[in-house]
Amino acid sequence: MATTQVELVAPDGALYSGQAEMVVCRTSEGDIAFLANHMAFVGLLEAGTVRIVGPDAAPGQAQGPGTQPGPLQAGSGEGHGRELRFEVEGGLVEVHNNKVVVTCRSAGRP
Amino acid sequence: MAAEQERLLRHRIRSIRSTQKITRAMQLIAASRIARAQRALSMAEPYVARLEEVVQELSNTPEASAHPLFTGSGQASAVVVIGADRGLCGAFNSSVLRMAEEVLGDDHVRSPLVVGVGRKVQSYFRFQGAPLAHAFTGFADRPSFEDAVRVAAPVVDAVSDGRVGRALVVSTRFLSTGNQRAEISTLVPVPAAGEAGHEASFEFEPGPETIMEELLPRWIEAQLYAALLESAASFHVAQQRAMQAATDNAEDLVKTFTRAMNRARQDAITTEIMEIVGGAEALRQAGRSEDLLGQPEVYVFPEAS
Repeated sequence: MATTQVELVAPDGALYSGQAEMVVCRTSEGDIAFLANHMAFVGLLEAGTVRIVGPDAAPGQAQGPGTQPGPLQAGSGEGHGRELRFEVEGGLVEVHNNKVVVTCRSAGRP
Repeated sequence: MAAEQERLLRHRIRSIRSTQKITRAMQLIAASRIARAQRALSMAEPYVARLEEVVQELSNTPEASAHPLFTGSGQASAVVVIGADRGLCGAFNSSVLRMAEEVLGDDHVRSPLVVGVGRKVQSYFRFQGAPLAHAFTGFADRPSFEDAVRVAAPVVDAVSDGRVGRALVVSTRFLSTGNQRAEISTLVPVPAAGEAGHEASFEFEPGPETIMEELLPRWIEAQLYAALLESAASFHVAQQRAMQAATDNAEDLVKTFTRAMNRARQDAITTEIMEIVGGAEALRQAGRSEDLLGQPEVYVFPEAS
């Protein structure tokens, strides 16, 4: 399946940087999902969960205990059906050139 | 005389040694803080870089490029001066302050809104009789993102309500552990990136105004956060270097004074011996003058016979 580059960053570190099949997040207008080659987009994020579906990389070690690889990680290999979830406290999502950038003030693994 | 001098020198050496202990401790502390500051800097780097990318990308869109973030409407400027809370760090503060004076003396910078970070910056401007509009102290050597948000607030307000069209930062850039420099950087306006005619079309959700309203503070916060972290890392390097020099200098002084002290002690001993010998000689002379016609001055060494 086609993938898109995903960067999830907060001031205290990068939480995720790698390819993924889909990113789902909540903007002020409602939930939105980005697949590969989504059109250029900028949105304001509401506080909520950002889901990175089918990630190919491990989450970054930005924070303390919350960042240990959870059971989701241990699932079936291949990246299929796996997902990473991050709680964000508002932020911005920007998509262009098959790259999804989520910048948020603070984020953590639930 | 010489004994007195020796006592003074001994006292002085002891005091230098205790100062040296302090400077060495400060040097080691600063060295350990460099590593921590660099770590914080590298953690913040992706956030700042990604946000920069977003801002660059949006500067090409017709909807966003009219925003004050890119146009810089307004005559006045905001200047954020970032220094340290403490001294004992060589020319760290003075080079930032000198550059700040240069910026504020510039004709293009009219009725500036000056924001200062660091106790040294605050006291400098107070001493100059031009107190800062906003002063922030207490976190210059270990800034958190929340601190950056607080520093950014007055600048964000001034830019978004059009009071200032330009926002500058005077701070020390951390180019590498061996190279830091006071520099002026421009936060607002952001120069439009990329080739003319290359207009990106973005879907904005919600509208572009709301997005830009949100992006402006995020941009200024992130840039200030990076500047604060770089300044803190540079401060620790400057302090480490200054304290290293002080420790070395103390070592040299101890060496010099120890030599002087030894000479003084040797002088004292020599003087004492001279006095004894002189005294004995005087006594002998006195004895000889009593019986001038006594025995001839022949000494027989028992071993030689």
